[in-house]
Amino acid sequence: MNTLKRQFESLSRLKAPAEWKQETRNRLIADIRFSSFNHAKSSRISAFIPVLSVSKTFLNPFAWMQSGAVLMLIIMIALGGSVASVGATFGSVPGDVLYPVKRTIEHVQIALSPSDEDKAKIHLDLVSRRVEEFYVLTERIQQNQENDKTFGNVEKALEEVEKQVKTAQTAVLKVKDSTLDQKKKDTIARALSQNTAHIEGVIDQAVNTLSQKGENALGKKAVQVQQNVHQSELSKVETVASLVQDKVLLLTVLEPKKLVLVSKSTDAIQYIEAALLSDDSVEQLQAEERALSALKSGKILNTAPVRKAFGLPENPLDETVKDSAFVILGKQDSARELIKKLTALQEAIKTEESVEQLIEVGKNIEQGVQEAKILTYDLTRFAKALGEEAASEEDQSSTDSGTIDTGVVKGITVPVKDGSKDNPVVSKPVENEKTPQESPKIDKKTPQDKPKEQEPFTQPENQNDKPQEPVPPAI
Amino acid sequence: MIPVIKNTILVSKIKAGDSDAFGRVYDEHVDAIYRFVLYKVSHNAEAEDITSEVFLKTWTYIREGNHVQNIRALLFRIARNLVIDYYRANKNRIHIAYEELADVLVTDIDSADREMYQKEIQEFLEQGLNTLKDEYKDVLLLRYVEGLSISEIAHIMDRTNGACRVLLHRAISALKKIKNDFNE
Repeated sequence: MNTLKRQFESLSRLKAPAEWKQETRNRLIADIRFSSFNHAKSSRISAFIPVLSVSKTFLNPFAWMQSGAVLMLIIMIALGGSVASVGATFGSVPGDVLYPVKRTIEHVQIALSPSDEDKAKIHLDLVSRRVEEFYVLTERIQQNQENDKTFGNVEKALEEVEKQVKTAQTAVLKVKDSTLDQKKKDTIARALSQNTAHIEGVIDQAVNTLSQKGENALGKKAVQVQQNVHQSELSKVETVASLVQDKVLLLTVLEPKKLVLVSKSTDAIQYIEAALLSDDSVEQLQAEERALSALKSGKILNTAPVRKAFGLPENPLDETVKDSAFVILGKQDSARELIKKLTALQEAIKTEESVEQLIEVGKNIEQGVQEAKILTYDLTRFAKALGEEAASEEDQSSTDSGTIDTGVVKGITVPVKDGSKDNPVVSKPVENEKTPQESPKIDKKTPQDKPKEQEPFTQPENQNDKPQEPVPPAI
Repeated sequence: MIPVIKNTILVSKIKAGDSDAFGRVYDEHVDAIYRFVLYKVSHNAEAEDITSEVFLKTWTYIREGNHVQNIRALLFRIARNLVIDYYRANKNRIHIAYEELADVLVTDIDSADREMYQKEIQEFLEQGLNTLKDEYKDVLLLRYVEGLSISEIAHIMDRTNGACRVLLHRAISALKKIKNDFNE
């Protein structure tokens, strides 16, 4: 038996390869972070959507009391449990009976946390939480569960988001300027990076949900807040970079940011590709272009019979589209170029090794995504004027609303609602008509946000698929 | 902190989506799970894949709101189920070179005894442990390599404590018998 024992002991000495362990850990954490919100698309993985579990709690706000959770809660707070642990028991949103209780507990937690660093961390978590509340409420609207007060509550939730972003920003900057030891700053940086990726994802999704309802005043406000969040110090790579000194560490900390950028650009590319004019239209335009230059040189008169002879539609395209064929073709070309540029940037960011470059490439991507939105909008408009919409109405309308309005993104659905693909189409007609004139501002804001959702779906989803099937029995 | 409370807090943090808390769970248990899976499937790459799947699945399971008494037991239970699935899907198992594995296991032993130990462990793995029934192997690994309690093992194997004790006893007898056989 002694030898047996010794042999078993030697078996227990084996460890997993360190490199693999770290790699797997990073991947795992990134996966679960992203799956949390960006995966909303597939109902099979609804387990990944915290909002769902949150909403389960709010359907029965007193459920938590039944399980002796009150005692647990007190113990947790007494033992310094994190905001998240309290969050497990409190899924209330503005307007719920328990919401004030939740907020009070949060205040107590902040008051009790001894250091700036702890406070900053809690504030960051709270931003996530405020955004999630906003999301839950928008979801209620989408499911038509709203009552008179819901809209007021959404507005309140939005205000809370803004307030909390500011508070968290102050708290983080305080840590940044403090003389705390580096390890603590690193932790904050990590929390910051992960939280903002999460926050941006959730708020984008919420704004999407809201825009599908066509709630205009509220929608605009939401977009405003969304933009503020994206432009706050919290979301900037520089803020994270200023917290961390170790370059290698910084790159791992920035991993979620990278993923966000990559998926943003992927989506932007998809939008433009979908919006590119068809070959037929291009031919038509080129013919028009040739004709126009001929006309300009004064050789031919611009009359209907002449136009016919050129194989052109009777009315000059200028009149219907308001932009001449030159301009349209130019846009088409720049769209193609932008696709190339974004693809290149995407490659660049994947292999990026220094933070300065990352920031630079990040900016370029943001810029590219903006351009992409505008181009997509223009091209879609041209396509419609050229009569393309008859052929490909669905693509058009979905890209259309995705880009122009507050952001019904093609294919993006909100967790609970089925028939995701139909949604944007259904809500579109209204938006299509209104938006071109109405929302140039909105148009510019949304671009950065939406794209994010698309990619995370595809990649982590696959990984999550497998685990789902054999669910281990309860223990 | 009392383990039960620690466990409950961890679970509720994970339920709330706290990935850092899950990171701690990972750090604490990844070696053990990897070991367990590796000794079962005898193949490095497969063990790595299965191990990471175990953690992902555990996360999902907890996030779904299932009641979890003991995270460690849950991890091993999921690992065990995944290994069983793996066996089902891959009837022809690929075997690791036991020699290599034994070599890794004796790296910190003095050179004089090293060769002897290596041979001994190789034999133990190849002719002892791996010839046992899967169930026997499971209990032995869980009990003597990972040091789990009988009640944890009972959770993992889905049996009563008594049944587990009996199983463990039989496993040891079987192993001893095999050892005696090849020592003679």
